[in-house]
Amino acid sequence: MAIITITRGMKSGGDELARELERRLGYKCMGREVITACARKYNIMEEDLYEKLTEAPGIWHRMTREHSRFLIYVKCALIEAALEDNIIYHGYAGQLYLGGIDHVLKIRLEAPMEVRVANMMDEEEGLSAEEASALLHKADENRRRWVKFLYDKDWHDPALYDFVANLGKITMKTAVGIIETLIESGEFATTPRSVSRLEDLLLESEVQAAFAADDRIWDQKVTVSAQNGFVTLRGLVKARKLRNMLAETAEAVKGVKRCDAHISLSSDSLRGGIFGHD
Amino acid sequence: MNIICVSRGSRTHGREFAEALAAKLGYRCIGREELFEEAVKRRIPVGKLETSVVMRREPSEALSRELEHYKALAASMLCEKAQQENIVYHGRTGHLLLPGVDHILKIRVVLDLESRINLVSEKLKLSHRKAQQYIESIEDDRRSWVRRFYNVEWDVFTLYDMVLNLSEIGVGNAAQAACAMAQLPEFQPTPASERALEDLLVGSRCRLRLAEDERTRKLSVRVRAGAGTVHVTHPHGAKKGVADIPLVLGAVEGVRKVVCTAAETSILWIQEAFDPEGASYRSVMEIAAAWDAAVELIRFTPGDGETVPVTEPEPPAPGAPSAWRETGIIDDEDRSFDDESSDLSRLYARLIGDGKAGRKRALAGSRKTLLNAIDRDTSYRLIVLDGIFLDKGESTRKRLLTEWSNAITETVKVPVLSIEQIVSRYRFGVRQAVGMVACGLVAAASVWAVFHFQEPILGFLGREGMKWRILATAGVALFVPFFAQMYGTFTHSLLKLFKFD
Amino acid sequence: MGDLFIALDFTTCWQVVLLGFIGGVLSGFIGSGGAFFMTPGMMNLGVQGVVAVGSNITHKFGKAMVGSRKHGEMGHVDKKLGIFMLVTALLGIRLAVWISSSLFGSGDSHGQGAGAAANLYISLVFIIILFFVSISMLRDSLRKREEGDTGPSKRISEWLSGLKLFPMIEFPVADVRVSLWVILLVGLSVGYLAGTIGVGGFLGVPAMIYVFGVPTAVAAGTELFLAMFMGAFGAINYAMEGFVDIRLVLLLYLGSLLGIYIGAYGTKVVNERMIRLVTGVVILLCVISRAVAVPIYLGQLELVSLVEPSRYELLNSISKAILYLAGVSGVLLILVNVARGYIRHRRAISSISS
Repeated sequence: MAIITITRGMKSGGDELARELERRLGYKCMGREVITACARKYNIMEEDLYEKLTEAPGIWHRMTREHSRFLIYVKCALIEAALEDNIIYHGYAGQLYLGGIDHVLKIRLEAPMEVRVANMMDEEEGLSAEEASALLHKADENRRRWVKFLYDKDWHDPALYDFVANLGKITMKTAVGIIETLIESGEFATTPRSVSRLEDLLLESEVQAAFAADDRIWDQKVTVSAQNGFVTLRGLVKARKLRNMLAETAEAVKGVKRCDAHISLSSDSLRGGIFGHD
Repeated sequence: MNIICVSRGSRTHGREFAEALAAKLGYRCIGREELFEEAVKRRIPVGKLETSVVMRREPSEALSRELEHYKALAASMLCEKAQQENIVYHGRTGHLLLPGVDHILKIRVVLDLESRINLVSEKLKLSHRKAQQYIESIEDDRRSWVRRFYNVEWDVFTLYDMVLNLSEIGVGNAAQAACAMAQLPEFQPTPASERALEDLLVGSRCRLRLAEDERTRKLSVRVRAGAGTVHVTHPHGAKKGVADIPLVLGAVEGVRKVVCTAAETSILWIQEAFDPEGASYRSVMEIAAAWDAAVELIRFTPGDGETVPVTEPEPPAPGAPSAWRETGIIDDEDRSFDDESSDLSRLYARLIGDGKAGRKRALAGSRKTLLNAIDRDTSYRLIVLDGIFLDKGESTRKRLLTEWSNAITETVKVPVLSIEQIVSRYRFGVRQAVGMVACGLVAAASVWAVFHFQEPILGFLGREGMKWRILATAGVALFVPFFAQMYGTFTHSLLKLFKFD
Repeated sequence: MGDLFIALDFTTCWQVVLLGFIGGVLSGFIGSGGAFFMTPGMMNLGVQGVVAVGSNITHKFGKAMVGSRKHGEMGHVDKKLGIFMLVTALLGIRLAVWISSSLFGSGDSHGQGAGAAANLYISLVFIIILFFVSISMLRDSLRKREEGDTGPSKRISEWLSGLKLFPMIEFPVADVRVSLWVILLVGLSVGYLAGTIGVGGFLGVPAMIYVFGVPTAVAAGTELFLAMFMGAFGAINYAMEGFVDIRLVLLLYLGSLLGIYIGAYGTKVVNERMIRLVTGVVILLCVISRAVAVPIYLGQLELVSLVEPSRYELLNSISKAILYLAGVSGVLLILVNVARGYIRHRRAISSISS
């Protein structure tokens, strides 16, 4: 019926919410499993993948090729999982990957710092309150930078979510109740249109994954959009050869019926004057 | 009665949501505009208040008083209505006007930026970019307003119980969800929260009366009410009008007693049981006297275990009061609260005698209850937390004390000390004396040395040549702070000896 | 020793200590400054202007290190803003030191003329700047602050803050957004003035409040942060030129590190408006005192002779007298209130034990 994503700061109770929802709604819970499946499919070390996902961007904010690849792979894995429907994803910024899909209910959990510190101290032995607090703050900061870097969005912006629950005031049970109500309202029901949009998204990601796997074209600035198997590429490259490679790689991806490459050559724009063509 | 506060940005369908919610629940809907209208009627310059924030100017004394006036008016209006019926208030940050009333359901509604831009651009006939700028500047101003006047960040999640995004969820369905929430036990009035509401009402009425009476209009005061006793704190310099305060307030409904204290700042003192005759009173009073602070008391009985549970615990056994953990005052405390012979009352009486009395309260509950009970509006210079967890073992008590102190500091950003820590900070014992003498000697020696050898030293300092210059500079750069530190410590200790801190 | 460092006899020493004490009390009381009193005070004693400023800055540097730790704990420092301003402030100081020392060197080395150019320059800058500061303070405290608050000096700063010259930089702690150029300009001016007359906080804090729109508490804290580094840099610069008289520095400390605590205590017992009024009057008197001394320098440089050389001694004495009048009366006022507060405090304490 719907896809639920749960975003939260570390140790805010997200796992528990996911399990509760799983129980009440009968949905399937996915978190780390997505990463595991992804690692297996693309033949990467799971630990590597996990690390790259949680690590904050470096000082110079340069995205390494590995970083870029891993993120695309995870996106693919996530969307594939999402197509199964009725899932609860409580991993890393899942809702950012699923933008534009109507049947996703994006939930954000917030818990007061002292509760999180208490949880942290419970779960990790031998931590003092100050240490726990410092770790949590650092983790929050990391996440904020990561989201900003990748999506140029503010992690704290409530407009990114559909529903934010503050566990400092309302109980877990209440939060679960509200979510149930929202699901039952039908606002987030899967429609053929939204499913097809999801399939399109999957195709886009798979094309991007194919690009990322190729040394020669992984960092070209090209946007991929798909609709019902018809893929359109848009962007600017420096050489004709690159344009051809991009088009070929895209067409080779399973599920792509046809590929239109609306890619300009940067030299073209010099020739064509203001109204550069193709 | 039930209170729901809906916080909305501009053009977020907030008003429709609030009205839909009110309609579904059968509550009365009040908007910020109503408060503004009343304010304008009473000649409060709301326009100027807004402008001063937008222009990022420090408000003048007079403008700050007008702000207090407005807050008092808004709070009293809301409290009055809330006592008569169930309400849904929609505005910017209504719940900040009602601190201490725990059963308010705080909802924030948002709308994604694109939709808002479209709304604005359509209504005001602006281009996309201009509309975006317009919205961003309004949001900026709003953020400044809340930050300057309430000292909190407006859009932090922890300020609200839930946030609903109206781009995805239709107004009707959102109202439905909020409806369900409003019926929950967490958001029903409790004896404690009703009492808080009553206190707020009396307090804001008093503040309002002071702001509108000719005699007391120009005073900058802080007013807190508790069970019919009104505490008015005012800074020292102001003489005119202070004497009139009791007269002016005497006529206000619900006021039984008025206590005026002259103080610059406040200290909050929390203990499980107070000893009015004990040495700790003296220690706290020394600081209060030095800082010219009013002392607020909270007698707090920890009700729950050490950790604060994230999930709701097992449903309570039938017959047990289900909201026990969340209520403020337990029934049997109520009776002793006003009891003149209780330790709290006796300590309070002493404070009144010494002219440093702030509010007194008796509470029980979890750590969360205590954190919520600390008044965010008052700028406490210090919180004294001691004599708590009396029924636990020594080491457990110490550990809990540290944990709770950290939690408080983390939340309200005020230093928390135990009595022992206070005493050691201000003690002038042997160690301090030795230190003082040592520093003094070093300083004296330095002075003597410099003067005795002034010619060679000055010669050294004045010598030409890059190498000498650098040496001389290095010498100065090292020696000067060293001397300042030594001598400074000496004088500081000396003055501490004479209790000059 | 040459004409750089004056001879210090017993009385002079005590006068310097007294200067330090008065400066310290004023500094602790108003929160910044003290230099406006100590620099001219030393000049009255015959100390060369550059040495007076140099020693003063060095003294300020050490004091700021001691004092800033306490304030640092209270937060309210916008380090980002501080660093931005610091960059140009240091430049400003360097510029100031360079100008002052060249002027000092340019005078002929015959007798009195030696430091006169620098003395004149320093005095003039002092007079002009502090005249405006004192007038606006007095106006502020005398006028009823009911209505709006734009005087002529503030209009300039509001215009400046309204300028949205690219690039605009955001300062989260201070909650303002200011153009880079405005910051650099203000930093440069503050540095230059600090380097020339030794006065820092008086200009830095209001500049931050009125030009940038920073809240008062943050402005005060950030200023302290700035003062520490500016003081260090200034001290180093002046020491490199050889203009620091370490004896004066020590003597100043003997007085100021006692006075500052007393002055700070005084803030708790006196009304805000009264503080401004007192400060304004004191500064104004210092300005007048300096102005009286100007003819001396003019004469020494043989630019204009308004007065016969024989009168120089008299003028100096008058200048000194006015200065002391200012300082002593300000301090007495503060001390009286401090004493009152102290007695009240002790009484309160003793009443508890009963």
